[in-house]
Amino acid sequence: MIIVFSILLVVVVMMLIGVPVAFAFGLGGFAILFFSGIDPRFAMPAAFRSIESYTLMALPLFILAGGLISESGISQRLLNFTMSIVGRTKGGLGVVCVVTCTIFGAISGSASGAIAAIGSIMIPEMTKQGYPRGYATGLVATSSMLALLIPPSIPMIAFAMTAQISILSAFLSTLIPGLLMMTSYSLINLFMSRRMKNLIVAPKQSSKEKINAIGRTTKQATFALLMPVLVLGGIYGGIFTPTEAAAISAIYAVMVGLFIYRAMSLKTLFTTMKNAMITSGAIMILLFFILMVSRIMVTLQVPQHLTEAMFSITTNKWGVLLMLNIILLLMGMLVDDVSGNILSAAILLPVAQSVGIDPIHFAAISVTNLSLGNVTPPCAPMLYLAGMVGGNLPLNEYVKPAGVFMIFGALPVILMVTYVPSFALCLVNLFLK
Amino acid sequence: MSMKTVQKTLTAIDTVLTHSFSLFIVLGGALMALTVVLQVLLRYVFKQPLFGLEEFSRLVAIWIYFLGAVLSTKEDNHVQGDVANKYISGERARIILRTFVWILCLVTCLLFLYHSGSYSWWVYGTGERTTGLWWPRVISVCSMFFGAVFMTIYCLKNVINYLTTALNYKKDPSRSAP
Repeated sequence: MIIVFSILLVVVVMMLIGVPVAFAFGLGGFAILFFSGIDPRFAMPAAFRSIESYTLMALPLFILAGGLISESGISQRLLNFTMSIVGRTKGGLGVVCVVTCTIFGAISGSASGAIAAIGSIMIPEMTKQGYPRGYATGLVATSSMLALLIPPSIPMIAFAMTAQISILSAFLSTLIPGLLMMTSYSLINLFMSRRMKNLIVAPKQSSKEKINAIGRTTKQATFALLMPVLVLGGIYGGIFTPTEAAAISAIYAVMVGLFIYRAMSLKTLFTTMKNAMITSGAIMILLFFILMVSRIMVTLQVPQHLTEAMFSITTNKWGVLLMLNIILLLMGMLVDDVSGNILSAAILLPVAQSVGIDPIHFAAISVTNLSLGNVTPPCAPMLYLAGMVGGNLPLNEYVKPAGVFMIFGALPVILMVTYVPSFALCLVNLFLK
Repeated sequence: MSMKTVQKTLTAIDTVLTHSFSLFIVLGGALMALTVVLQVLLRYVFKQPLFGLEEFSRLVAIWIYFLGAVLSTKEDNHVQGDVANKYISGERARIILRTFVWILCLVTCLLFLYHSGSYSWWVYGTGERTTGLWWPRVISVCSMFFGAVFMTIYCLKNVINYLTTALNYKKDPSRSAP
């Protein structure tokens, strides 16, 4: 067991020096296989069969859909729509950013997609209206977490597939936490905006003008607003599976982008599809190696040893939950959301179950904690991505505002998800049990 | 054959391969999405899903995954933390670190190549077939081996690029990292 943990430590060091996560886990996996004497022909086929599954095809298809939505003009119309509702109040533009990220999450389930699509429009716009660029960048980065909580969620698919639990139930478990996080971000933003002296606020409109503007933007955004209805309605109406929903949303985005909004050219379509498939390839090879490592760990009874180690500290359910919280947050700082959720489902879920935590509840705990890790340095891919989209800003300019949203917006929601099971499970119990 | 000719030939091969892989993944992505949607349409419009279509989609998907991983390796697009790079100020130190990183990637790919190769060969030997369309399973399994071959080649290319840059750094300080 010491060898396994030592190798895992080396894996972490490799990730810190910049070895791609997939290769770090791959090398670590082969090293564990070598030292433990397990036949690679046992671990590799298991990982291969897992990534070959039809259910997992939802993942590349949602990545594809997210990329296509970003280029189809849908995000601009969603922004115009939310802008017409809340854009003309002080701090309204920040709320527009948060709400649009939420709606975008209900379409694509991808945090990087939300940053690319919303951040590239919102950061310059917010800066133009007097928000500090660092603040706008931090807000976009933390709002991207919402795309991971609002169903459909790509990391949730990875968790549910590894844990072999219902994807639909897992999706529902983070819906209320996601909406609460959206509300708390909006309130924090309104509070912080009050102290910004240079904000330019668009002149107030009369009720008639406002209704007209909302009507006009709603009409323009009809096809964009129909998308979450189609995706989520289709999934929860039992019409199609998440994989089918992902494929339908990709085709829908192409149709809308090419023929209705005419924002997409054939060249853009080709480039977007190519980039989406390359990203999918990078994620799937990562998944392959992580699934291989997870399989080896299960064979070596690592989850059982971890449970014993944790139980030697405390057997109290809340104590174990606190430890899981800390482990997940640390894990989120080191690995990306998809790999973190696979490892969590394979290694930490048995620990959680041993103290009577419902697997669906743990799915919510895992996704919320790891999504926070995604924007927490040192390895905060979404935070850095937002920094790049925001114009290659130095980290110190946006880490502080992002920290405010993390501590006062995300953390309380995460603690509620962890320690109040009914908070995550109420919709599941209401609709699916 | 001079070194320049070899380099030119390799670059031409690389360009052809990159374009072919890009075309394959785009067509494959479209095919994957269309076959899934087609299955939904067949199920609801014709009340008769097409037998084996899901298996076909999965076969296309698995090839796309590994071709995508190859291009991702070529373009250095993999998911990575890269914390150390943010704290290292020296350009040369960064290049040396990246060389070391790519050497580790190359070792991983070589191990992956060996194990995926022996697994593909084993599946070929068993003559295993898929349950639906009764296709040889090696068609999907060898995507892994195919991916490993090209990932290894591109890792090697990256190692050589970084190593050359690191070694020539003093002589040509204006040269940036590959």
